[in-house]
Amino acid sequence: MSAKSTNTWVGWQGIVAEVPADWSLAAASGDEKSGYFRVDSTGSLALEVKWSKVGKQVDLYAQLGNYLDDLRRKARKKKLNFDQKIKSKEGGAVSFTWRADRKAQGKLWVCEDCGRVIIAQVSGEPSDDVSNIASWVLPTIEDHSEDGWRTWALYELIAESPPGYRLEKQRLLSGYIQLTFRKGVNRLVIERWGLANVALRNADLKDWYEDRAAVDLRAFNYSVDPVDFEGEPGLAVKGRMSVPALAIRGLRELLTFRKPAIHLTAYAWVCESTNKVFSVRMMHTAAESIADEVLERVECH
Amino acid sequence: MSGIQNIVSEYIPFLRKKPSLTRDQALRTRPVQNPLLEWEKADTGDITLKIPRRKDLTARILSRIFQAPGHKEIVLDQVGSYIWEMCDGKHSVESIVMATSREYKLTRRECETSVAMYLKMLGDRKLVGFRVGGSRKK
Repeated sequence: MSAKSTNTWVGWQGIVAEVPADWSLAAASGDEKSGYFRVDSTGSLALEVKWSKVGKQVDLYAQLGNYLDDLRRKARKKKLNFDQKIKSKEGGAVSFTWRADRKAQGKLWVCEDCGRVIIAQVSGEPSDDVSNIASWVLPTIEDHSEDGWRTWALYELIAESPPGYRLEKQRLLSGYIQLTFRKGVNRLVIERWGLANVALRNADLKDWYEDRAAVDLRAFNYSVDPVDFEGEPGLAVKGRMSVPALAIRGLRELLTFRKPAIHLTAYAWVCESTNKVFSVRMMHTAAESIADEVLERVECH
Repeated sequence: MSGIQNIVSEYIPFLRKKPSLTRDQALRTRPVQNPLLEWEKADTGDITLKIPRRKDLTARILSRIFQAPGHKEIVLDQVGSYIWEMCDGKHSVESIVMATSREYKLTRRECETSVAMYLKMLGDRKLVGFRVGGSRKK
């Protein structure tokens, strides 16, 4: 995945779009079945994408009609004029525009592969050049990948989650992003910290990372080795669940006839060009040894 | 009703409506350090603010009993110190956000949120004030 230097990728639940570099994710909710995200510019322009799982027969015009009726009702409440235009189907997608206190240009389509109906629109103030931005942002939207991995792209973190892994928890703080995925007993944590030069001013990466990941690491007997990630200083952590932890957690899993996630594989590295620390950490069974593949798919710069 | 409230609030300060700013106006404000504060910069670059203690009778008695120094100190971290030095009444909030974002390679949105929270905290503690008006400084 590569974007022009003036552009960046934003992705959530496998739906990705290329947007201007100063746009960033402002809201995200839902899961892979139905959800929403909004990407804001520094001004008044925004990209909104909404998706929901649908059956085999979908009437796109009816779906779009419902959406526009909802907007019309909201405009009427504010005593605003509401104009809309629905264009004919092109390449399976229905295009539309509307204008009230804001104006928007968007499209609606069904993806046969992921079984989702997706509505995407670029909106802005009446004075914004919505049509120009929409004409290059909307065609860049991809709703699924070819290999089943799901893309997540936000605040200079681009990562992919393996097939079958669902987002369990997210923490989107200023300077810290954590995405936690789960598939059965296996857990994958992808993290990104900002201000690496400040965080590591009086600490080395090993001590700093052990402190940050202590909640997960304390259940394991592990070793830490320094690793060079294409010139970036980093470390690799390999471990196995300690006997006391295994007695507690392992028993719980065995009672549910599941193999416990007794292996730990983690990587952390400092990306000096973006001044950030990245980490991929996986607590997994022997069969689910895919941390290296996840690592390969994390883009830090 | 609001006319009456305006008249009343002129004489009763806590009834005064706080002026609300749009995001754009807030970005154009220029933070300025409280001139009554003393501050010094260490070799590490970290800034220590010296805040004078209250001078009322209770404070004087308590500071006599506990032998408290005449001021309390707040040590700002590296990023906090960097922003503090730009609170000179010349830089707008927007220019501080842009400079911090460039210096520490933070995304614009992350940086704006953090800088705004930090400046609000400084403002709430009366360590900085905000000059409103003027053109946006890039």
